[in-house]
Amino acid sequence: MDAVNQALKWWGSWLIEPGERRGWKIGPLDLEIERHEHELRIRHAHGSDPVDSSLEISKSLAFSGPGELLTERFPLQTANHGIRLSPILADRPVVTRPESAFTIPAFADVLLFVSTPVWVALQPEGLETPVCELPTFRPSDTWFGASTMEGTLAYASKTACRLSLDELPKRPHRAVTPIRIFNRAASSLKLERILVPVPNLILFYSEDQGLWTQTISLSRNEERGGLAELEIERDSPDSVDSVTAEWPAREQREGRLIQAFQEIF
Amino acid sequence: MPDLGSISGQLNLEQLLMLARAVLLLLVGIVLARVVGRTFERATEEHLDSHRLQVFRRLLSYGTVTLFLIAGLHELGFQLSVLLGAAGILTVALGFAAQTSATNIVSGLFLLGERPFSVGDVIRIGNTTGEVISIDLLSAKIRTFDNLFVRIPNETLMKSEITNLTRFPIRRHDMTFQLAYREDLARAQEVLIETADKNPLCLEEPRPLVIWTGYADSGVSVQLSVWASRENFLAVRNQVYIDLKTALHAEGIEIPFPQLVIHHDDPASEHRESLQDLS
Repeated sequence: MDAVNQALKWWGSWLIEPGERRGWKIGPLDLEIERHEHELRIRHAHGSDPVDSSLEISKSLAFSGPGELLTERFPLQTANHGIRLSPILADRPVVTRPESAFTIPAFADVLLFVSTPVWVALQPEGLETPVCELPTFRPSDTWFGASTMEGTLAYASKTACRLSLDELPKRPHRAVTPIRIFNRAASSLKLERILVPVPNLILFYSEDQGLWTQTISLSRNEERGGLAELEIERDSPDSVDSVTAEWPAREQREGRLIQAFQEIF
Repeated sequence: MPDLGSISGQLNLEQLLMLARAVLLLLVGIVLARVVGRTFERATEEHLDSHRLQVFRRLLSYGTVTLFLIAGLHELGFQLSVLLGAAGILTVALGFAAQTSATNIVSGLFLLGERPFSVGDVIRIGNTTGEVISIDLLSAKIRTFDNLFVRIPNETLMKSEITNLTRFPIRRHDMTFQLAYREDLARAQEVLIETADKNPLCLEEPRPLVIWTGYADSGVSVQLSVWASRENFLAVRNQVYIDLKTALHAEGIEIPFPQLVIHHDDPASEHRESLQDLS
């Protein structure tokens, strides 16, 4: 496996015998798993830099970050000492805001790339579901809706709104979502925030490009106001070659209309 | 000559049969009321909240039993019109005697329609704040946060201002305090916003808000407002106070104690000075 791939891939199955431990540094997340005869002990802490791209897998981890170190214990009765780590997308939609003003002219369309942090699902072999899911970076909560009475709780993120694949940094703990925006209205669309329906997306891994999701298309028409028509492309994005792994979406999306661009209060 | 013994025996048998049919009708009615009630509950539990479900289920059950009771009474030979007349008079008498209860029942029906709160909501009414544990025919029951049981008549609920603290998914917490006059207010404002932004449970939007509310006796009054989801409201509310004090202390920004400036004038020294001027 070449250096780029090695630098991006942290998931898989590990055999951790009782009395042994293994540590992962995945971006801002410091994670250590210790196996005992009848339990699994997980220690984790988060750094404060959302774009920290470090990746390290070792026998143990020295926790040095500013975040609080938390310990969780899970009783296990299985004789199987394997544990599987998998990437999984966020459990809520992500509201991403451009770092600088970004306006799409009338009747124009654009393809931009935004990235969101992934979660780490820990599943002991022999169990049907993960025992826990840890974010590689805990984004801030935010509200997305027309008012404080109706809307959805989401995660907040900032985006550089990159337009070219070459500009995309490769980070092991973030998944890139291509977003096609069709502005079919007669007025320009100032992008202040975009709601990315992350739980409805499939996650892909490409040896060359890292973690990606399906492409989403958002069409804005004047008669729909702030509602955009959402389309999620079935397959992996065109920009991504040689997909070698795939993880299913957390939930299926119902309906095509989505409050994607509406400004709030 | 007819046999009186056999006639009276036949009459008794007929009455017994009538009584048995009436009792059977009543029993069937009771059983059917339960079946109807359970069927209704299963069919509508996903569409109705627990309060409405209970009320409608009771109405159906009692209605079914009443129908079979009337059929049973009819079987025993009672005239319905006479019964209804007696019931009407009884109702008027009971109405006068039980006005308060009747008002509570009617208020309960209006609350059912209006739904200002549901079981599980946290409400404030007067000085009572707590979780609604049941909404019944005559009253609502509240569990306060110090685990006291409070019964509030429906009539009181209809007439009073009720604040539902958990109706909407997000809530704002306002903190008011003062900063010393000597502080750089622009820098202080940045520190307040940064502190709120650093807490991931503080909503990024709606944005935390800083409002300078006036010049007070001991410092400049300021309000910091932060939003949180209702599940995290208490955690955010507490943590922001802690984080704020830490951040202000780190920046050397003072939250002043109440202060009083005393200007001291010594009349004796004034008189001495004026005498010196004369000389």
